[in-house]
Amino acid sequence: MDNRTIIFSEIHAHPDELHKEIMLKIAEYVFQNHHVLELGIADLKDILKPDYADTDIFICMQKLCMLVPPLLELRYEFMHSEDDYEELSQEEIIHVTSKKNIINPRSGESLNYDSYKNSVFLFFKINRSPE
Amino acid sequence: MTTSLANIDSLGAQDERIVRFLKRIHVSTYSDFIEVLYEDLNCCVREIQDNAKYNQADAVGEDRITSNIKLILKTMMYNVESQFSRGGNTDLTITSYNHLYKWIAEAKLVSSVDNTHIWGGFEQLTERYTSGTENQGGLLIYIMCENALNVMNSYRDYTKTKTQYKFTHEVCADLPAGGFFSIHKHTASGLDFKVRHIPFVMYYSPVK
Repeated sequence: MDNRTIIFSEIHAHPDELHKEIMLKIAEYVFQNHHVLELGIADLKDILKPDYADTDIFICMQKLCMLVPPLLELRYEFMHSEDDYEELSQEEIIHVTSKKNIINPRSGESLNYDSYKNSVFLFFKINRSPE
Repeated sequence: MTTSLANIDSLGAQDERIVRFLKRIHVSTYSDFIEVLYEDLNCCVREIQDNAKYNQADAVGEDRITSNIKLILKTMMYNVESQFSRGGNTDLTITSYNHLYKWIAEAKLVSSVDNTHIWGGFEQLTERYTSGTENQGGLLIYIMCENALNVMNSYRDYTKTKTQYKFTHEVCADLPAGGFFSIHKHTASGLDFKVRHIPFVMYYSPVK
């Protein structure tokens, strides 16, 4: 079985009907749009009809990261400036959020947690290996 | 539009499941897995107890409750398998979404203080279903009678009579109706094995 078949079959087996519906729409969009490499909530709000709550869309994106194989991968990046981003590892995020011991990954400058939270962004990378 | 960690905090304030899913995705060790799973099992206990009316004992009562727990855990993206045997025992195998970590529980339904019946579940869990290399497991105790705390306290005292196990006990503060942990040396692995004894308060008999 190819990844597409496995992913759709896992989504169809999901017991939460609303989330199943949203996940199926996201998966259909991903497999129909091969040029798309990343997704965010705003992208999906434009794509998904009818409107769903942001929280449900976000949870579905998280669930799609937890399929085997995953359809999406959760990634983080630190924004130094508007067009200067640096990707962070999941381990760095776990360390920071658990220890609240935060430094700018490039300069080493100490940051307060609120400022850090406004500088770190999540995105969902589409796993296109091998479809 | 991108989503910052600050946005996640605000989404998480609207729906706590978002924060819980992040924790599940970030699991990277067995102890992380156990920590998150135990919080998730607390949610299962609350959900099942809130619906005690629909989970009363009958020919399939025990299996129905376990089956409902399985459904709740599946919506949380755990892989869950259960084996139901007629009139018999139920075991629940829960693995992390990435299949790296596993936790096994045995389920027992009691309608009165019934220490030997629950103890049978403990023996099945520790002597039959686990090797002790993954060092935690659980006993799901569906208590259909009044005074769950009394059932659990009696059972906990009973385990103290099994001196060959040299148990250490810890109170489980998240489960106030007598939930506790026991730690003993697993027969197969020789390693310390921690069992979470989880009461489900299922008594339902409204006077009106």
